[in-house]
Amino acid sequence: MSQSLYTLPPTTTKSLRDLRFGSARATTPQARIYEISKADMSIVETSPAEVYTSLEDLADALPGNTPRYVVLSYPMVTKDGRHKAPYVLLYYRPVTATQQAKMLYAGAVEIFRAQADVNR
Amino acid sequence: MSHSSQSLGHVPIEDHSFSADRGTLALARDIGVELYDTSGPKYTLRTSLAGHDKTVTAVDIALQSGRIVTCSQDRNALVWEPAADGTYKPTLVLLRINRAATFARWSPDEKKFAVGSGARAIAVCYFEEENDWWVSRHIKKPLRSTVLSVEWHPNSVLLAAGSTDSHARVFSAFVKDVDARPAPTVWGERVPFQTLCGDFVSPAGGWVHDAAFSPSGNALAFVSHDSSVTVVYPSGPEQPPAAIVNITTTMLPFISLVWLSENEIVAAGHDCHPVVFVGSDQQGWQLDHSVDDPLKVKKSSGKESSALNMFRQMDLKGTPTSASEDSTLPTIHQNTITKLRAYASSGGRVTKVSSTGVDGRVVIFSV
Repeated sequence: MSQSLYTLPPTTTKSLRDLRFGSARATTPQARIYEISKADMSIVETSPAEVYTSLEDLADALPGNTPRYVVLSYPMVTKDGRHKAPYVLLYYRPVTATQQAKMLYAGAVEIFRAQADVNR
Repeated sequence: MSHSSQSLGHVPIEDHSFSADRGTLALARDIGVELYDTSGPKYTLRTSLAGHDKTVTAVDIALQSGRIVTCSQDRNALVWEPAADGTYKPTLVLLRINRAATFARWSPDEKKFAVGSGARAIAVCYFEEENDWWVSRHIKKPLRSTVLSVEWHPNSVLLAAGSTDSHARVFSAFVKDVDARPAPTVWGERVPFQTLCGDFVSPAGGWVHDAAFSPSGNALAFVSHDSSVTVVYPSGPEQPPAAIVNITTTMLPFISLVWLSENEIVAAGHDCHPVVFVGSDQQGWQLDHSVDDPLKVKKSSGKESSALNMFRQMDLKGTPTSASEDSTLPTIHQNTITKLRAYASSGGRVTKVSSTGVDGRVVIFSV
């Protein structure tokens, strides 16, 4: 296909790699939020860049009306006692977002998913 | 006690709103909104706002910014921004409801507006800078049926909603990004969005046509289809109210009400004339007097009311009274009054109310 609209700057790939390896042994949930910057259509981490360690903080930080991508590692104990830490991409898309924003994020979700190399 | 009346055609008027200086009147009629110039003895049509496909059910002019919000049975709401040359530019607000919108009002601080709908939800809409458009959040939880009216509390956070499931409810419409944290009121202290702060029914039940907060916000009055007016005085959050006073009348049901002061309410409806109630939480409430009382209208003298005449009329015309007396009502309004709004106030009390109804008249009553 022709070159895509979205760019993934090296800072984002680095932050994704840090999260992936940093969350391997963590005991709390680790999450980062990414958005598409309107200026140059690049997928960047929302500033101030931070790793959220609780789901409440994450919920507070997410905007009410615009889509975001959240990469989350969630350590948990399954019913049979195994420790698991699934590494997932959350495509956060509120119903009150504008059609334009929804289309923008929908176009980039596959690219971002491939880059983040999540399990699902 | 002078009342001024304007007859503007015979199409029923669904809702009306005056601008802050009372120089412009917006009327919601059929599928459009008409803006009239009120200077001069007769109101003249200035512009017409067309944008809805079905009956416009509400219109409200924001007093400070001049923006007009309209909502209609076509499930949409439009916000009209005034341009410098007197025209208005509409912006569609996606309410995300799948039934007609019934009522819309700006909040007192004009940052939000609430739209009641037949979809058992109230859409609270605010402008989001980031996306440069109006976003709506729904209040759905305890509503079981169509919302007939929504009125704001003076703090722009609480909403009183009257609904066809016979309940008058108080909700919190606190939007995190738009509102500053409100001061605690008798209705509640911490009130996140969609909190139900109060739920009231009148003893005989019946659709709640209109509900409104008192000027201080510490009491709620609502009119229901059982021809009664109920005034609620809450004592505190999560507690039973200090007093619920219900005034039943033998008149026809009221459709709209306005608080004149902390101790006076004017209500109007199917009886085609406003009625004033006076009272307080200590002494209770009672019906005080009727404005434009039909019983006080002098019967047109000059007709002999003799028995001979009466039978002669019956022979000729089939009715004992002549046609002209019979076909018009003695009140100024000839049909149900559907909306009352405060028009002028002085000395802390509303002195004039404007009313519109199914007969297409706009009347300003002195109360």
